[in-house]
Amino acid sequence: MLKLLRIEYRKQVNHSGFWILLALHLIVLLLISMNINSFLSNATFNINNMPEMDLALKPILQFPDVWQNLTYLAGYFKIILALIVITSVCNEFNYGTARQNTIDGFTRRDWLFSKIGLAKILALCSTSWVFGIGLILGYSHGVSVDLADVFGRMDFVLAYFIELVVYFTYAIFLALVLKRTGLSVILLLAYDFILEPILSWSLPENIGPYLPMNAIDRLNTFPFGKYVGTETLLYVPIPQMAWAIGFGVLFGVISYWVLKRSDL
Amino acid sequence: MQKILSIEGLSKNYPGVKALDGLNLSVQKGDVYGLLGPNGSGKTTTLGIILGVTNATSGTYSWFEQGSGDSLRKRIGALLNKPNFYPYLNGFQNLKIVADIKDLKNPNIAEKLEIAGIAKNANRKFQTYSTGMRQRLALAATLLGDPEVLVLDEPTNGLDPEGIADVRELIKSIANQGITVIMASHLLDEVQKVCSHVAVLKNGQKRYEGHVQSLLSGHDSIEIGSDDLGKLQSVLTAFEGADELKRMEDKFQVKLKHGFKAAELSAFLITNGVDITHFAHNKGNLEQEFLQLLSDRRA
Repeated sequence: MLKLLRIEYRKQVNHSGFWILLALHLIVLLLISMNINSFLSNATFNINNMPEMDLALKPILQFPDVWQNLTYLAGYFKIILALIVITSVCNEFNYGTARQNTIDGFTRRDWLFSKIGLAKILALCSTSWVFGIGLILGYSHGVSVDLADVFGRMDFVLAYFIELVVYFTYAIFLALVLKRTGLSVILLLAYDFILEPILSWSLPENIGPYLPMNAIDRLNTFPFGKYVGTETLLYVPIPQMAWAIGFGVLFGVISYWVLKRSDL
Repeated sequence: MQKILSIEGLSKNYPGVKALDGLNLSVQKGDVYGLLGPNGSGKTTTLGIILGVTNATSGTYSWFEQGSGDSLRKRIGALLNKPNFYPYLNGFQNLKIVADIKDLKNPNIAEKLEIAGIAKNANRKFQTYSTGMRQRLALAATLLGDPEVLVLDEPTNGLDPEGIADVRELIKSIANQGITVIMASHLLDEVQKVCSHVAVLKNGQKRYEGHVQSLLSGHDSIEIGSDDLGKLQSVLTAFEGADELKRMEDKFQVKLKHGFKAAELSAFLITNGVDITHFAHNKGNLEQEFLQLLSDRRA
């Protein structure tokens, strides 16, 4: 695995697109976190028609609430990193390097695992970044800095990592099938925001939540309701994590199957 | 002798096309093996399958008598179709990736760049390379790890005359080190100059397999003219090295038996007092044999 990561690193380290998108993702997360109060009052609350409230009085950025709130918001910006994954997969087909890697001795599994490795590294970068920001926000708004509170809801951080890895694996699968960057990105967004919602309305009510994007989203559902008395889940259910991971494995297996059958 | 590659009953169907139809081949250690055929005859499909990028419809192949496992390809240096590299990386960085994939501890990249004549451009990005430079970088990549066998698909494609000469010299010098070379080409001249063995493909089927020399041998022909055609004919008939005698207006065409030289014939004619007005020696030409094989409707 270390060998695959080293090779993937060599492919990315001099690729300007990789650094630009990664930096963009991290900066966006930082800006959002720094302006979380005004962001919430402008965007989320209006959309959800929540009653007016004084956010300053709510423990949004205090331990342990900060973990749930921060990872929920950060989840919206995973698309930027998904672009890196998609570009990286599609480029290998455009350049003919997926073929050359194979000729040089890669198995198709090696190749897929090196891309999943990239997905995991990106997820790890983003998760560490969010974790760091969370610590800073939590301590600077600290009422309780009791370690039990500080690290109280790490399940949301873990769920954020899982969310990213599964989402990127799904992006790899799309890119492998479509082999074109633009098309893959469009379908990625279209499925997430148009196709799956339609599917989920048209299917019986109890099936919708189990569709892949829903499965990822439901790792961390809209958390701010708890401040106005709406019923809100305050932890990540283990079955939900298992279901999301299951989709990740499924996308990986299908990707392998597609790759195995195709002529490069 | 060790078999480097054996192919049995290999077929590949694309929708509506049989690109490869039950091909059998066998390459021995030290061969410089040419795959010759017109465009669309199945050369690249064959190489694609034995290099693991194309899935065969049926049939098997085996490298080094050890089967078709992916890791065996690390012992092969291969250039298929066109040079494929990361455009935003320079030549050296690109070869580092190849070396990593092949698990090479000390890849000696600089040396291979030097041999392929691309060393001075190694620090430029691949996307700035000319066609010839790309081809040279690809050749340098195939040499990494001193492979036991080189697989080259149209290796002189896109090169200028100097580059073509360089690459042919390179292939010859590699072959002289005992490294097996498998080379696809539609250039007869190239196969004739470089290869020891040849398989001729057409429509995914093998039309000929064997030594380049035996494909050519016995096919040297000599044209002889004389003022006294009657005498010429009787002397030629008496020459034991003459295989086939053909009258062509004011001269005769003689095909020489294997092992006879043109000089022997001319000495024989002079000894027998024939006045020679025309003497032309046509070396066996792969092109003629090739066209004959391809037009042949047997198979």
